[in-house]
Amino acid sequence: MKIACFSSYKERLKYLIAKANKFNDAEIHCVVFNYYYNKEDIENISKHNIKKLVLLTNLLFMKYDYEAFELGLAEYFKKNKPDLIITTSLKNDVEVCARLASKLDIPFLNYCLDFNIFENKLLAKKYSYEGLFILEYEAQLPAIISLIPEEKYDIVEGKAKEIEENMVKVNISRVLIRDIVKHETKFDELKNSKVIIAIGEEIRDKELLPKFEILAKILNGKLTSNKFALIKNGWFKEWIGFSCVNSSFDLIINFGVNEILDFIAPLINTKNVITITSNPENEVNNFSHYVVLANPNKLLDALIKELEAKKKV
Amino acid sequence: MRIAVLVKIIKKLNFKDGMLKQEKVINPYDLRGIIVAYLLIRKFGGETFVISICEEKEDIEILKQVYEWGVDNLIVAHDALFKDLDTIAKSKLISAIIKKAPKSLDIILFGQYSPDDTDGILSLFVAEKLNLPHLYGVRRFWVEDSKVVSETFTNNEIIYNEVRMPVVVALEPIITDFSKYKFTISSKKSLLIWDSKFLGLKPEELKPKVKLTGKRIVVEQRNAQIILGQNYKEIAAKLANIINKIR
Repeated sequence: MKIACFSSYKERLKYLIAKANKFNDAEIHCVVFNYYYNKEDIENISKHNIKKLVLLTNLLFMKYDYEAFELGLAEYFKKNKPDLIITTSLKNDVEVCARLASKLDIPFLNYCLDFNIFENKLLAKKYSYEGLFILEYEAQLPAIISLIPEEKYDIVEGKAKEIEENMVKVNISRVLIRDIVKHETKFDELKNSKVIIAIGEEIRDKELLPKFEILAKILNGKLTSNKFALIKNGWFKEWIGFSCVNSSFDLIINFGVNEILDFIAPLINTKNVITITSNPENEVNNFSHYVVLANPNKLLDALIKELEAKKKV
Repeated sequence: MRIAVLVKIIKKLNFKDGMLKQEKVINPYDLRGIIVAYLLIRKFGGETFVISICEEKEDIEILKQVYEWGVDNLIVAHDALFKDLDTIAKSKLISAIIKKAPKSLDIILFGQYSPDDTDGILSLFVAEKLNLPHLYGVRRFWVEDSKVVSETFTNNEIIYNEVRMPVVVALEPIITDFSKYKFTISSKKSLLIWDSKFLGLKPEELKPKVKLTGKRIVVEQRNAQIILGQNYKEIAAKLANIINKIR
């Protein structure tokens, strides 16, 4: 069986190679575009346990040229006929691979947690209802699967037995980049925290935010909100939702979060969930370890005082 | 300008009386596309088309709600063959509908995700089948002459792309507050219900290549400990004790 690993993200590609190496009898290929990988990166990748490293090159590649990348990958597919392409669930990879799957008329399972191959069939697990259920799928091979990358994995060192360079034809891209602006704040900060303070629909006064910041500081946590509240009030750049599905927090304190849509996933692996709400029918209560039935706006001051007093003791 | 908005009927899950209940609704993430289309048509003139696949005939009644949001035309694909389709089959069906649409479309809008499915790839499959360019993960977009300009966010960049119409646009999942808008109901309102025969689709074309084999609930309801007190000071003291114990 041939497994091809493809990603435009260097670190994630190593994770995919590690995943593919779990199949002892697999012939592992690694497909990279020279646009994303410099000479040093390619040398690093070639030090992994893979059969073939395929470099798809063209000096005219552009940043948002998914059509050229798709074409390059399609040529690789035609020539090498892999049974399975594994990629990541990150945007650039999904755009290229989904279009490729559509072109080839083969299944593409996106956002999977894990996979296996049994009797020439792909078996994959993925979340639905934003983390409430795990669904198991069976797909015909050849297929493409994208995985939610895990932070920790074992690198399998070795050597690429073969390196092949293919020049890819490029047409003029239909989608052009007009501008790129750098963010001041980086996203993805929540995943690295152990404590999350999530403020929701019951918190309406923006002036309370500095007090919530104090609470977050006392608990050495991050302050954010659920998606609904974020969209309504725009107080934060990042909400806590499905993208934190693989995170394992020690504590999430919900201040007035009521909507479960895109909020259950991070609660699943959290060791302790405390919900402060004035709504006894709040559905988030069902996923909490502790529920405080009180007005979260009014409890905030008292809680800060108690925690500060206990800190001094 | 003619804009199509793809809309999906989902089963929204609610916990009621300790049980998981399902209620059929329009995917809340798809509603954003309806408003965006309405505002663009008001500015530039033209027509909106809401396109949906209905597994059950009664779902059409739920979809008729879109007329209240100024939609001109509702195109529904309904046929026994359209049940439990996988992404490949759905993309073939939607492409067939778009090709059969009474007028050529300039923008085809998708909500990128729905709560019951995290795949988010249907728009990309359709774009490929129709050989159209796509804009994916779009936070907002606007129209300049014959071009669509989009704004997408990555971890450390905001990217602005431009593309000539026709184009497939997948919108980021953002919940829309309908109360902010006042809609004028269209005088043209039409309802078209199309089956596999009309769309020229054969059963073998829609045969699934992906099969659902299992489903299990990840998190059972937790029997939460309720914290009560006579006043906020007492509640805060109890809560602070719990937090300190946890940490």
